[in-house]
Amino acid sequence: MRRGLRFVVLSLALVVVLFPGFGAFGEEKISVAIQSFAHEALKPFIEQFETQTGIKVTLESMPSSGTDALTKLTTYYRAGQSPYDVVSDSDEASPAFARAGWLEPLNDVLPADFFEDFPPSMLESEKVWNWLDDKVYRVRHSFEFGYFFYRKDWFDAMGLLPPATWEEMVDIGKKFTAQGKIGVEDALSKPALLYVYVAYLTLQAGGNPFAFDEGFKTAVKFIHDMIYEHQIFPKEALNKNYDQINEDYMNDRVAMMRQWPYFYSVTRGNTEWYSEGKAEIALPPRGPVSNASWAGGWGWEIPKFAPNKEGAKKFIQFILSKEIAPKLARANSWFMNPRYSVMAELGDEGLAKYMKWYSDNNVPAPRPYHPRVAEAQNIVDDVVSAYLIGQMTLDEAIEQGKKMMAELGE
Amino acid sequence: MANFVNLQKASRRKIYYAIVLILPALVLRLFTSLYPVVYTIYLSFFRVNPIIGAHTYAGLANFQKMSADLVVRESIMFTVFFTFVSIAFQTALGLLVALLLNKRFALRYFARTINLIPWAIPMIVVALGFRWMFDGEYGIITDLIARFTGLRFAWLVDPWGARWAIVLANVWKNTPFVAMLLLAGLQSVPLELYEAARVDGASGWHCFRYITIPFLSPIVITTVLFFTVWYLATFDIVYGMTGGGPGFSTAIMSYKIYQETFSHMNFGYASAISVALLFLVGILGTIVLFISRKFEILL
Repeated sequence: MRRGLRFVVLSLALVVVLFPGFGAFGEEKISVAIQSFAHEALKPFIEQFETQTGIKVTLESMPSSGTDALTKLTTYYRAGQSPYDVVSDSDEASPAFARAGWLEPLNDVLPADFFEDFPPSMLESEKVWNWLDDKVYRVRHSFEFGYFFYRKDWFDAMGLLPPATWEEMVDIGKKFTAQGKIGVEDALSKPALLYVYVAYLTLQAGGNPFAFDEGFKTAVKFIHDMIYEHQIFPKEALNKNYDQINEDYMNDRVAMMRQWPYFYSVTRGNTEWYSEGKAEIALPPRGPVSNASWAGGWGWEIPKFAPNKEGAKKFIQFILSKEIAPKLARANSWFMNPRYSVMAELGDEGLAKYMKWYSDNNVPAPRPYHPRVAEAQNIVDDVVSAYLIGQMTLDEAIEQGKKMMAELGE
Repeated sequence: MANFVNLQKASRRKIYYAIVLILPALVLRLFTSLYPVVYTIYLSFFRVNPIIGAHTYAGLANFQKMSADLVVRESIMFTVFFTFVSIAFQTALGLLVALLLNKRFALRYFARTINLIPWAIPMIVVALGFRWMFDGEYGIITDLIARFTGLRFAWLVDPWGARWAIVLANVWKNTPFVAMLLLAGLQSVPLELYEAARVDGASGWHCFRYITIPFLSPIVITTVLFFTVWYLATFDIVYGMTGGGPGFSTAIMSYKIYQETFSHMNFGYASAISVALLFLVGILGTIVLFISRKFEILL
């Protein structure tokens, strides 16, 4: 008998050692996939959710680029499976998944007055990107647009004001280039980064990057001229990613740079380098039509194949609530967005001040939409890059782009 | 007669027994090799994109699209350039390194070991490292060239600069492996042959030309054939170093296939390009084999 008992105890111990999850058998759980840099900020809220609902949450990592997210998730969804119950997904991937019927509608998950918390510019973008036939398939938790960073300390020393127009940006850029600095820089490498900048300038020129219209032509010609004619923008940027241009900026080489909001934290976090005025934000210089900066972001969705949809819905309700979303935005700027509740919580604190300033000046504009956005972006990347290195003329690039886009629309 | 029948029966039983033993491995092999190839060929005649819910018969449309696709055309050119230039350089350099490592000198075993370090580094790490080293502003390679020549060249934003940068990085990584293979070949050459040749008055060059080279040729042929097939399907170095740019000057076929499959979900079109790559591998592999055999006979 005693030997039998010892055998049972040993067997159980072995099972617990080999299968740590065995003890949680029968416990309700969900798996939440989100970029790993956001995990720390999420943890206190996860604990709160677990206490409130008794649902155990496991955090999993998502890729940091939208196209990689598309690649990763498609393989699961295509097979009719999902290892995740809740996913923080990108603009490149989510609309395509919604059209493929791979996402769960969230209408019955969100409170009736949920979207009253959204300012019109954000709501408009949500409808274009995340709604299909009046069904909501994703809600963005980050709503980001490019900010115009500049070296206020250098500008002040030279008695300059931040540029209000493209022309002023060129004039000022020349002054810095004459001193051996880089006047203006952005990451123009493939894939996707070149598109970001082209789309930003195309909106300011009143065009649509996917239409290869006059606005697009003006914007791309402007990039070309900044590089080759005015020489205020380094040609090397054509193979630079965000890490590289951030390094340029924080090595005191760059005077002006468009960058995503995370750069605000990056500069302030570099305590050895940062001091007041080194990474000040101004409104974007105005192009021929506007000083718009397109906004996009990552948002929560529930895959149709989620193992625990009910648990996932409870998580979405919790994490997007007016109580939690503002606190989460305070914990990590990636969760910042212009929702009224978030802005009220953050007030004039840090980047929120600039987000409000940009919004008050109508800078945020909807991200250019295309039903097959990843492919369309690659087409823009390909032809613009080919033009900027002299592989084709601007007219050829536009003709080629139109042709490829037409084939895409078949 | 009865004996003959018994013998036939026994022989047939042996054949059945052999088939039963081979069958699991055969089925597994067919399933993992033949099935994907056949299914890829099948898909190449369809328009398949799960995101837009398309799965329709397209006939030769994917192949027609491919022939008009500027990026595909450029990628075929660069794939061939990358393959043959890389192989030429790494074989020549590999032979030189192998000859050096075959000499008697102090620490030669240590030298053989460190020679293999580049080969042991994962390709994606090599690609990202060289991306920085070829950087037009901070890159150590660019900087060294600028110090010696006064010329600063932005390798990765110039079409030919980027192509050569990729080839050089690839050659740096794979030359040690070729050198080790050739070193193994060199060590199998009987020393008596060199001694006999010297007695007959042969020079160093003659020994190399008429003894070393013929002995190494089977290894060279195998290596060239192996790398030809391997390089035609290269992906990671382009992905890490240039992303196919600038423009589409370094778009390699497998990168284009990856992009169409995983970024655009155009499974049909990607399959058509894969079929083209399969043909390219077949044709170039046959040509290389043919030339190598000719070369071997000449030697």
